Amino acid sequence: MSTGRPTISVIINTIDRVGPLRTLLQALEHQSYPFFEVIVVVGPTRDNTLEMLSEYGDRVRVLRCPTANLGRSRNIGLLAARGDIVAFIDDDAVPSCRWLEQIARLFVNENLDATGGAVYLAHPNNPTTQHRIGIISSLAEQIDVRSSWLEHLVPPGDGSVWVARMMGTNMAFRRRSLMEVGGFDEFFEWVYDDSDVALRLTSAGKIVHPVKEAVVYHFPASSRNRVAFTYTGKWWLQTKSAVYFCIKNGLAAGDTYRAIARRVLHLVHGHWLWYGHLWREGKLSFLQLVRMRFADICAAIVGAFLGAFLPRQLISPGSGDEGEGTQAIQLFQTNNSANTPSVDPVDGVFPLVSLPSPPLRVCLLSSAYPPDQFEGVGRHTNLLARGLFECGHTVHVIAQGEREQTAFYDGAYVHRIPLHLDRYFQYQKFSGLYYALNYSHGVYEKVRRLMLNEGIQVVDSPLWQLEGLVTAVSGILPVVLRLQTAHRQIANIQGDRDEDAYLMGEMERVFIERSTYLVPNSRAMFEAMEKLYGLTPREGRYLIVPHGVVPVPEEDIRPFDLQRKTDTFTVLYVGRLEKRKGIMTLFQAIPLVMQKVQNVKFIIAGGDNSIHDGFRHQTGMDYPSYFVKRYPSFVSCVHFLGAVDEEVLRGLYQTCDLFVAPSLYESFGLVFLEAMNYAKPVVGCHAGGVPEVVAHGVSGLLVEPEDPAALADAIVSLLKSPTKLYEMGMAGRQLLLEKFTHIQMARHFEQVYRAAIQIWHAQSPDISSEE
Amino acid sequence: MRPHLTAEDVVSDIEFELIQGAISQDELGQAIASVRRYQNKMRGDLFQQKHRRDKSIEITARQFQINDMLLTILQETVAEIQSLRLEFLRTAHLSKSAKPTYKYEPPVEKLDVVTPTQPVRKKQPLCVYTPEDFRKVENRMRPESLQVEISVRATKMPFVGAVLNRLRVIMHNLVLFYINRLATNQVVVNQTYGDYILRLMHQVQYQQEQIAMLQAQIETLRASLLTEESATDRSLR
Repeated sequence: MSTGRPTISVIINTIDRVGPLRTLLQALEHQSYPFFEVIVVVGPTRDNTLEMLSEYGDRVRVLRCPTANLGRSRNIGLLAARGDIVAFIDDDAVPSCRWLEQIARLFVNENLDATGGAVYLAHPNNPTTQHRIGIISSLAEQIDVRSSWLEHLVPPGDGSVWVARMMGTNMAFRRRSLMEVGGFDEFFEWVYDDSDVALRLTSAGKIVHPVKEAVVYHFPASSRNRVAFTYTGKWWLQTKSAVYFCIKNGLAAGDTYRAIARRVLHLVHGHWLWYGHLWREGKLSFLQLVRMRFADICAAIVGAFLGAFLPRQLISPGSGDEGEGTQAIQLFQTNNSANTPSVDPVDGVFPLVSLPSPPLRVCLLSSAYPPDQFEGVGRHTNLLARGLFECGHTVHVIAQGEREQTAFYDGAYVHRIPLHLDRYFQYQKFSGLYYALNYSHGVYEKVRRLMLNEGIQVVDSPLWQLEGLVTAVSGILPVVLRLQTAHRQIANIQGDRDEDAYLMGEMERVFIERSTYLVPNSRAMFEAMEKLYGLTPREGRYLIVPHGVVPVPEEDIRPFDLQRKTDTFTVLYVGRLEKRKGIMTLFQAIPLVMQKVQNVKFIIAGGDNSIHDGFRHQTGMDYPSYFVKRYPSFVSCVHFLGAVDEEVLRGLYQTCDLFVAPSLYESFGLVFLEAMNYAKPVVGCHAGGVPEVVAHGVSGLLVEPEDPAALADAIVSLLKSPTKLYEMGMAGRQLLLEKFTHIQMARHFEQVYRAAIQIWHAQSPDISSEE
Repeated sequence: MRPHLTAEDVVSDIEFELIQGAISQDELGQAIASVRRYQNKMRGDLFQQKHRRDKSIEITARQFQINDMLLTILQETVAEIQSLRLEFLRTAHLSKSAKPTYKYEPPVEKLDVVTPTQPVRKKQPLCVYTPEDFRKVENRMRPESLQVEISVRATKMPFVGAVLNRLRVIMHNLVLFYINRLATNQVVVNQTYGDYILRLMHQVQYQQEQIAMLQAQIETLRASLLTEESATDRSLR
C-alpha cells in the first residue's frame, strides 16, 4: 500500500558497540513517523552484536562490512537502502521522538537533497551542543554551532568555498541525489566523510540545508578509534582525512596551491602543538606523545599523497537497489512498539514494566535541578522524573544553566537554558518579577522546541518562580501546576510588603487560574491556597499528591541501636537557615535541651539565607554568627556545616539519632520523609502539610510553631527514651514504604497528566485537530 | 502598598511578547531582527555624532521612520501568512476527514450551499494584488525616490547676498553629498525589504488561491454529502 509519504531507510554503521546499538534500536520504536526501515551495517565485530540483532528478526536488515571503514560501511548501507530518503545515525546516538517526521517533512520540498539536524552531546559529565547548522570550507575550516543561518554567513578563512554541512551522527539524503554523486568517498575511514559529501553535493548543484531541529542526542561510546571522554585515540586518522579533504576539495574548488599547502601545514602543526599541550597537562605519557606525533606526520604524508594522486573511491551511480515505496521496505515498528517503555540512553536500561497504553512524554520544569543544585523543588522534580521513568514514560526537564545544553540524568533528559534578561524591560524595577518573567519566557521557548522535536504532551511546573506562567498563558500545551510554597506565603511570613512581592503574588494567582490541573502536595497546601487566592473549587481538576522519595535499601537504613552503650546523641537539622524554617526556634530550644540532656550534639546542615529573609539587615549578622554571639556557652555542641552535597547528607541522616525541623510553614516537608527513609524519628511542627507526613506519636512528635519550650520538651522526651527512638524510626520507615515512595507519587502524577491532556483537548478542539 | 500595575497588565505584556515571538521565530523573522539590529546600531552611531543639530539628522530620522514602516508592513504580511497557514491547515484537516469520493469542480455558485447543521460562514474577501500593487512597491524602492534635491532660498541682501547664496549652496551641497551617500546605502536595505514584500505578496496570493480551491472542494463535498444523505433518507422511508 502506498501512503504517498516518503519512505526512509535508517542506516546505522556499527562495530563492537552492542550496548549503545540496542539502546538506539529501542529508541527507534518510539519514532512518530512509522514509514522507515532499519539497516545495520556491522563491521568486523568481536562482540555479540549479531546475536543481539538476530532478536529483531526481519525487522532489521543486517549487512556486513569486511573492514573498519566508515565510508565503505555507509556505502554498503546506501546500496542496500530502498527508502526514498536515507538517514544516517551513529550507533551511540538516540534520536528525538520526531526525528524522522521532521526529516520527512523537510524532504517534501523536492528541491532539497540533503539535510541534518542538531546534535547534542548529552552525556551527564560533559554536555554541550555538538553541532547545529554548521558550515565548512573547502580547506576544512569549520564552524560547527551557529544560532541561525545569518550568523557567520561568510566567515574569514583560507578556503574559497563555504558550504553547509551536516554531522555524520545526524544526516539524511535523498537517496537518488546521493547516488548521483557516488555516495561516500571510501578513503574516509573515520570523520570528514560527512563534510566531504556535503561539499560534493553542493558542487553538483544539489541543495544541502541543515536545520536546527530534528535533534539527535549523542552519548559518545568508546570504539576502536578512540576511548570516550579521554585523549586516547587514533587521532592521526583525523589528520589523514583532513589533509586528504583539503587537497581533494581545495583543488576542486580552485583554491591556490599556496593556500592548500599552508592549510595542510597548519593542520599538522596544530595537532603537533595540541599533543604537546596534552603531554604538559599530564594527559599523555612521553611515549604516547612521541608515537602520536610520529603517526600524525606519517598520516599527513599518506593523506597528502593519496589526495594528490589517488582518484576518489566512490560507488558507480547506476548501482543500488531500485525498489522504492512502502511496499519495498520492511517497516521497523510493530504493533507493540507504541507501548514500549522509554530507555535510559546512558546505561541502556529500560524499566521492566508492561504498559497498557503508550508512554507519556512529559516536560517537568525546575530551575534548580540536580546534580548542580539539590534544593526542595529541584529535589522533588528529580524524584518525580525518576518515578515517571521507572513507570516507562519519557521525561524532559527544563532547568537553568549557564549555557544551552542537554544531559541525561536520573531517567530524564535535562535541558539547561541560560537566563537572558532581554524582555519585559518595563518591569526592571521589580527585580523578582523581572527575572521570573524573563526566565519563564525562556522556558516557553524551550517548551516550543521540545514540542517540535520530542512531541511533549504536557508541561508540569512548580508554582515557585512562575516557571510555567508564560507557557500557561500561551495555551500551547496543558500545564499541570504543582502547588507548593507560594511567594505570597513567604512574603507574609517575612513581612514583605513591596510592590514586587505583591505583583509576584498576583501573578501566582493568574498562574493558578490559567493552569489546566492543580496538584497540591497536601490538603493543608490546598486549603492555604484557597485562603490566599480565593480559589474556587475545581471539581475534577485537582488531585492531592504527596511527595515521594526513593526508598533506600534495607541494608542502608540505620534505626536506633538499642544495644548502644554510648549516651551521646546526635540531633540533625536539614534546611536553609531562615526564618520560615524555624531556625530561631531551634536556637532558643538548644539551651533548654542541654539543660536536661547533657551529651547532645546538634548538626545544622543548610546554607545561610539571612540576606533574603531580612535577618542580616536587622542584626547585621548571619545565623551562625548570631548563635555564636547569643549562645557562646553552647557553641561547642552545635556544628554548622553549611550547604552539603547528597553524599554528605546521606551520611548525616544515617548517623543522626533524631531529626528536627521546626518550620513555621512547610507546604509538605520532604526532609521529614528523607529522615524517615533512614528509620529516624522526627520532630516537627503543626504547620502546613507536616501533620500529613508525620504521624504524631507514631513516626515522630509535633509541636506548635515558634514554641521553643515545647520543641525542647519533645526532643528531650525522645532522647530519654531509646525505645521510642527505635520504634518511631521503624514506624516512619514503614509509613514511607506504604504511602510515600517515588513510584506511588509518579503513578498519581501519571493519572493527573492523562486527565489534564484530556481536559485540554476538550477545551481546545481546534488546536488538537490541527495536531 | 498596592501598585498601579495589575496582574492583567502583566498578562497583556506577556501576550504581546508571545505575539512578537511568533513573528520572529521563522527565518524571515530572524532576518528582520538582524536588519533591525543593524539599523539600530547605525542609528546609534549617527546620533552620537557631534553635530547633532545638523539638518541631516532630521532627514535621517525620517528615513528611519520609513524603515520602521516598512518593517511593520513586513511583520503584518508575515502575520497574515501565518493566519493563512492556520486557515490552510484547518481546511486541509476538514478535507482529510471527509470521504475522498469527490470530483473537483471549480468554485462557482455552489459555494453558498449550507447544511442545516452548519452555521452560515461569512466568506472572507480575497486579498488580490494587482500588477499595479507590485509596481507601486517596486517604485517605492527606486534609488530616485530617496535622492534629495538642493533647495536654497536666495537672499536679496545687497553686496554680500551673492556671496551668502554661494556659501549656502556650498554648505547645502556638502550636506546633500553625505545624505545622498547615505540614501544610496539605504536603497540596498530598502530593496531587500522590497524583495521580501514582493515575495510575500506572491506567496499570499498563491495561498489565497489554494484556500479558495480547497474551500470549493469542501463545499462540493458537503453538497454531495447532503445529496447522499437525502437519498438515504428517502430510501429508508
